Amino acid sequence: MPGPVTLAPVQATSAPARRATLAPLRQAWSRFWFQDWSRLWFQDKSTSPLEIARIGIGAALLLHYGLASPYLFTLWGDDGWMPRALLADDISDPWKQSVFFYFTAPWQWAAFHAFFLFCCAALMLGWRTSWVKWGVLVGNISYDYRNPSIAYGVHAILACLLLILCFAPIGRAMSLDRVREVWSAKRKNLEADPPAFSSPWAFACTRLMQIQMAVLFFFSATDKLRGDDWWSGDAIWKVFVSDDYYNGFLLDLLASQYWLVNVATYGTILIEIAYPFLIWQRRSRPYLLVAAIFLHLQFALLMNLYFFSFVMIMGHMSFVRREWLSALGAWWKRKIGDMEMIYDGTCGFCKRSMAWFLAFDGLRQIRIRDFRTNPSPVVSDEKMLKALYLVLPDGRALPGFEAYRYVVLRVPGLWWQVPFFYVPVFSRLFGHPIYNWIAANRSRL
Amino acid sequence: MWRRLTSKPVRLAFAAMSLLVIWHTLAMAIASAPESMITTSARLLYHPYLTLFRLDNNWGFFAPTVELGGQFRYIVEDAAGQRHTFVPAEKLSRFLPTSIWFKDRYKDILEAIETHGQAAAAAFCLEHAALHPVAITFVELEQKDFSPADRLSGKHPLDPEFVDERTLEAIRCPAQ
Repeated sequence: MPGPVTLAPVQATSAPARRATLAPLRQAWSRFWFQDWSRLWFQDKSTSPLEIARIGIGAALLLHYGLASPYLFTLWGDDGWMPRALLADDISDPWKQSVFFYFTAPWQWAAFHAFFLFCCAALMLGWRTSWVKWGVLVGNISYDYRNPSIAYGVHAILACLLLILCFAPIGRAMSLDRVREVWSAKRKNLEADPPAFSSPWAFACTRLMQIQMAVLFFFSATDKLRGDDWWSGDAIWKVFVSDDYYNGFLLDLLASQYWLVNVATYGTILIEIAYPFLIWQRRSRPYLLVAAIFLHLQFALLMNLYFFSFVMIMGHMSFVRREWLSALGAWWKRKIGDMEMIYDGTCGFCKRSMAWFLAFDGLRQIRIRDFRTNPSPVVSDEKMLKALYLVLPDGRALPGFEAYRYVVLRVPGLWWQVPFFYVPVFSRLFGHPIYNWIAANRSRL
Repeated sequence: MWRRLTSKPVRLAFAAMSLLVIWHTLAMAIASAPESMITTSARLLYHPYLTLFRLDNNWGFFAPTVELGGQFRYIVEDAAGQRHTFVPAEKLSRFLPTSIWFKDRYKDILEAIETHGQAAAAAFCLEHAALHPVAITFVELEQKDFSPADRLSGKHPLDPEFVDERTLEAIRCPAQ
């Protein structure tokens, strides 16, 4: 029979002994804190997935509220569908705030609406992103709380995604802010190549957006599982019978092939329930992502929920791996091939315009050569005195306007210039003389 | 990267970031979770955050039950006593967000005629001024079950046998 257990008094334990006892605990704690926890939340990554969401959400908001402009006072004005008196119950909650609650004159509605649309456009383009994103958030919440009766699912998800975008250090890539940063560096030295932004906080915010999408799908699925229409496999039929989503052709098809209704109903639940669990694994993520995007494309095409579907797809973009984007960029660079722009290094205007041009080349597709210090084996110096040249992988050399025309179609950051360079007849008719005049007078510019 | 985490300010920043992500993750879950003792208590703490940033949403799209639809109509009664029926949703383009806003507006009118009826009637009277309207009557068609067999026999979900028609009281047009 064992004797009584005697506990050594705590004060009797020496400090080194205590440290030795606690060492494994301390090690486990620091491993969790510095390795597991930081791997989960704080990896040093770029903002690329968030930037895609930013561009898409900015564009969607701009279009949506831009189309609402003619109805500004009807939808959100005091003499419109929702007079302020009807909101008495909502306004009584001090945490429900809208800038519209404080407006007294019509010009204030119009001015704020114009400001909000400006912020949406700036968010999409990534101009002064760290400021304008807050304008978009405040505006979006203000519109929703001013007239809750017209807000639906998309407004709910927009509010959630916008707050995460506000937390995040967005505007560091695929943005005019990044263009300004690169342009500023290249003005001092054309060879300068500011490193791409990355931070642990960018990864944490991407993770928050991923969790938001997973939570949304989880509760959407579990709510469906509580309903008889979904259990019996008839829900999709009832959706399309409803006058809001009526589609004669589709209803005829579903009536004659009713199994399609069952497949669509159970398929929707299956995707929504699988998504929050399988989207995290490396192998299953592509399939779940494709399935979720497919689901939302169906909502857009068959139910005309374009705005909702597009915003949801932008939320799913948080699951796009940076490696996929890098591989896509590398594939594009390989497909287009090497491009070398040869310029006159003694011409200040040429260097400034090259810096501006190269700032949009996010994939670094264009190499540069100053023919004054490093003459080209392909283009003679005499030719170079007349115009800038672009040398292609097959050895062709395009001068002046044709060089720019070639590049804008092949560098994604310059696609916004395509309409100017590719208007049939007019672009070349005006482009050549304008370029030639600038080239001839470049020393004076 | 955490090898660089040696200075106190960096550790504090790391702790603050950790607290924020935990706080927001819990907020996302609490906002959508069904009512229980835990969520009710947590909501007391989270209410300002969820409400101020409009995060208080549940994600039950078309769930748990899919509502049977309906249609909003109104009848304009002119000075000669003639009645003209209009289906405003037919004029809406499904490609534009206006379609959803206006349909929501029609639902509001039907659900709270005493609140929205007068203003809506005045707007419709103005829209149809050429008819010299004297009153507007709102009508709701409530859809009933419609089966695949009904469709295969050539029926439409809004055929009289598949809807209940609810006529609301007539509202007189305001004096011009």
